[in-house]
Amino acid sequence: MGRLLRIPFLIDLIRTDNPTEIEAFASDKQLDRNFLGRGPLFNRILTRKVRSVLALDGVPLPPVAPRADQERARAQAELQARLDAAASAGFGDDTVTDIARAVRGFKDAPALEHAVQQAVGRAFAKDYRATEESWAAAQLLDKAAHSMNPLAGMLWRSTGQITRAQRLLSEKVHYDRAGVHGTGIAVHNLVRGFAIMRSLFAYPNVPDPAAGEAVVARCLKAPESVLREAVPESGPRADAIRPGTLVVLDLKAAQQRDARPEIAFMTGSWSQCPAAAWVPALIRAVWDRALQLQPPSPQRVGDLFRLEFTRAEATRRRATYRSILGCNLALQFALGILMLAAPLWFCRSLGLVPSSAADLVRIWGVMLLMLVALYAAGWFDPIYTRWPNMVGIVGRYATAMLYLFLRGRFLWLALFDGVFAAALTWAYSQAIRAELMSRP
Amino acid sequence: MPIPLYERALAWFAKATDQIGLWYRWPLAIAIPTVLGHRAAMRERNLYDTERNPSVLKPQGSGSPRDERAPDGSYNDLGRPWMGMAGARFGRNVPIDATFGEKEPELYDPNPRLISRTLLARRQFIPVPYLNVLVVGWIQFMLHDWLSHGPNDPNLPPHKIPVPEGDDWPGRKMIVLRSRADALVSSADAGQPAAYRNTETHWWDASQVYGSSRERQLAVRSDPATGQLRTDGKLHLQTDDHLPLEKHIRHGELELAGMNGNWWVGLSVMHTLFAREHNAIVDRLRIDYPNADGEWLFQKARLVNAALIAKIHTTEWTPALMNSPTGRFGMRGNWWGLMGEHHNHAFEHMGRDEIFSGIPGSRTDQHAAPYAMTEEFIAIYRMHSLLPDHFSFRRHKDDGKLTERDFPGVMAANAHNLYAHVPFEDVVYSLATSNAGALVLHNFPSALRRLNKKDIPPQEPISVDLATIDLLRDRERGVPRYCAFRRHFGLRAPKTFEELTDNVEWQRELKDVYSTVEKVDLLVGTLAEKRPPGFGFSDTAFRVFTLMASRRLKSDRFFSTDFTPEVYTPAGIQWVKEQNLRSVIERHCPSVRSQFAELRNVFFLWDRAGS
Repeated sequence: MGRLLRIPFLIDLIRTDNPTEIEAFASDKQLDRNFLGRGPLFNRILTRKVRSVLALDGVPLPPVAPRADQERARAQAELQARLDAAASAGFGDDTVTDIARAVRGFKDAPALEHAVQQAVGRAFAKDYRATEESWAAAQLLDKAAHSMNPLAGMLWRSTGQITRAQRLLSEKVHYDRAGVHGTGIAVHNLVRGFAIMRSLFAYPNVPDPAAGEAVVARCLKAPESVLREAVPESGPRADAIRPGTLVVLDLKAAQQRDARPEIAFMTGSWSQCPAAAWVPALIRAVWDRALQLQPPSPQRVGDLFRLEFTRAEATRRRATYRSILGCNLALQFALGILMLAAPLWFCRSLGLVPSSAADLVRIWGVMLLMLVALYAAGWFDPIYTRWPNMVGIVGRYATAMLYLFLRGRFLWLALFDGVFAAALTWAYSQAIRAELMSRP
Repeated sequence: MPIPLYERALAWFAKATDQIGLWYRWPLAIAIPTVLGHRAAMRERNLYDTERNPSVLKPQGSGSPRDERAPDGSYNDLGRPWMGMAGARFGRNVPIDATFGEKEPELYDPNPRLISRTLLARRQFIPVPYLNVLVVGWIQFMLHDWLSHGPNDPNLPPHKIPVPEGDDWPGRKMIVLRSRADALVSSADAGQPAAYRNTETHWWDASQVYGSSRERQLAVRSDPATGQLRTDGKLHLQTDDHLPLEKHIRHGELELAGMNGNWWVGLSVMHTLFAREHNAIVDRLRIDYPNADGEWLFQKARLVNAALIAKIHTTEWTPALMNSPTGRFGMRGNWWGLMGEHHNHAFEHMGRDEIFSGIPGSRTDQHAAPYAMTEEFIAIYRMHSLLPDHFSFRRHKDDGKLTERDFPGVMAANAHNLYAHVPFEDVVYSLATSNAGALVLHNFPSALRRLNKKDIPPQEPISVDLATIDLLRDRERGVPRYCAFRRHFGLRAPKTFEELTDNVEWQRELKDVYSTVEKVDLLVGTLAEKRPPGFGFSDTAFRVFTLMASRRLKSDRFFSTDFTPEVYTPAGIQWVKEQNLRSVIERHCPSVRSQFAELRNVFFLWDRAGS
């Protein structure tokens, strides 16, 4: 059996991604979609979420309505008959073409998600037009249905976002509850599938015109999971399911193990998806149309291939490096002056014997100032005057290591050099990369 | 020459980093020394000489004057005048005993025509979104500079490849003449694999423009109509600045160039541009040397033009196909060194080595073997998939359509005939605003898989399938197959098809054709292989490029020790430093400048007029 997670008062849940188990659970009469909102805390949270998000005006959407719901059964059968007929008859030319053009990457094609939502919506309302708002509503509904973040859920509910999304979607499908689910939840599976199809056309892939069936199988994406609840009247069972246990059927994971469409659509069960014929037919129609389309004519190459953008980026990265280096050189200059002006104080700070080390500290200070001066050309033009910058970065690592060995208060100097070495390495690498990508 | 200590250290470093991850997964600061380390290791173990009896070669040059390139490429190395000359043998990048040509039945297993149909044939054109067709013309322009196996051998029984069931090839067997192996064998060749001679100079000396013999060089400097040699040092061009035409036994008339085999309009564009460029260099040199004679001007301009071509290939063409920081750093480093372009322009070459200031100006070095182009290099450069099948010619002013052609419509004599309908600038614009093809499976140009050629003999027109021939030639000449090839270069070979490519369809298709991944042909493997980010070709190919791209410069004294103002003239060196393909096109096709002005690289797809 699947993985059981049972903690009294907190959670009573079984998850399975085993295709055989899923088929068994799908037909199990003791598992339903009543979602009574009873039982341990987590169970209540989850079922409440389903009842609020996947519902319209408090009435559950058909894909989450109970088995015994006559209206659900009737609507499901009717929808299936309608979608099966539509699949056989073929799809509207512009429906398929819009998706195909989006898949092929035509600049003037609608966004893939809009084209797909529109195709789904037109199965419910002939005048369905997908918009930014309808897609945003679908995204919100999907996020709300799957998110385990209670704070986010509270925010969405309390601000009315979920209700507004549900209303918007339902208006567009003329209040067809199955249409709300189709255009708000199920549509995301289709979009994922067509995104895979798009990748099959993307450079450097070569689509095989003969691979239609394989492409359909590859683009058919099951929903993440579906939920069942053991009915209160559940009698004794050999497995761990008790009345109120939530059973999560991980269809997406199951599809990795068994790619049959029966798993994705739960075919043969009372809750089978009415679009089991419609979805594969749409995918196939889009694939066939996409193959017929000529590749988009050569487009302008993007900013990464242009001088203005890449040189601006190179300038920006160079400025970042110069800022970090400038800060470091300024600090080193100040340190050098301090060493010259107050060698005794410096000796004491480092724990050195002033009488023997003061002169050395002065020399050290002079050398630091000389270093800063020698660095000047490298600071002014770090990309084309590379030597001081490269040597300087390597040198900082070396001195950081040396200070580490000296320990004591030298560790502060190790930290100083080490941090700047790392920062300069990063910044210089970025600057060089940006410069390289701005050249032929 | 002994390997420098730092190169040994780099090779060791590369070996260490390879244990953890491939070079392109490392940050730039690690990747660059890793790539340099690979090169150092390959310089030691991937160069093999086949020229066992160089006395059979008869150089046309004399080594004097030493600051000119001999027409046949001889006397580049004054101590070994035969090295790299036209007629010298191709070398190898793998041990000689691994280069015995395959024999039947292995030679035809799997059937190369079957591979051509099922793995290479173009289903629909797969473009590289950002590269234009000038890329294709350029690389063939380069290949014609470096190598040719010459005509095939009509005296040997030809290959007769069975045509698979259901194949639409005319006839039950495909006839392919065998490669012409070197007949000038000596006792030193006993028991050794067959070797092949290069009919062109091996050097990067622009021999495709100037020819690989004194006779050809004189031909391109003369008016074909009168036979009169130009005394001004220039290449002869027609009054409209196009290449002159010569009578051609197969094609009637063909544009005259140093090497004009397999001619098509992309090649014509490059030859025309650089013939004009040669003449522009002559004009520039005459300013500084008004009393110089034509011969001197010609030879100096040739040096400069060849160097400019080499620089463009190193710093523009190759980086266009290696659109990653590491790739770019490597190629720019080859030319300008670690210190970079501006330092190189401002200061003298730092030291005698190549690391800080680049190969040009550094010490010449042949490394493990005398310089020669290699069979493995030729195999890696089989890039026919870059070529589209369809050409649309448009006006550069408004992108208005002028004509459309398929590949036969722009090849051979049709190339120069096209100019009667499409002005040169518009041809350049059209090619530059059209995509090159991707180097992947299922993208071999359809036109090249059924190319009608007149061969001599037989005299009758025959069709050739270049994809089949590409596969056959590698097997015939003993180029190791993909897995063995990788092992010879110190690369891990895939054990399964799934390791070769992560494209699920290709895995299935490869399994259908090859009984084992060990049998996968080199060409097929490099097209199927997953490539480094930003790269237009495989890592396998990149290793060979790393070795040979540097070698073409390092071995040639005109790109190393003699890359000096004394040899090139100060104006000549300055020309090489300042010019690039952008300026060449601007100079000779100024009206198309606005289409590429904003682009980093003229091999990237130009903007269409009105866009």
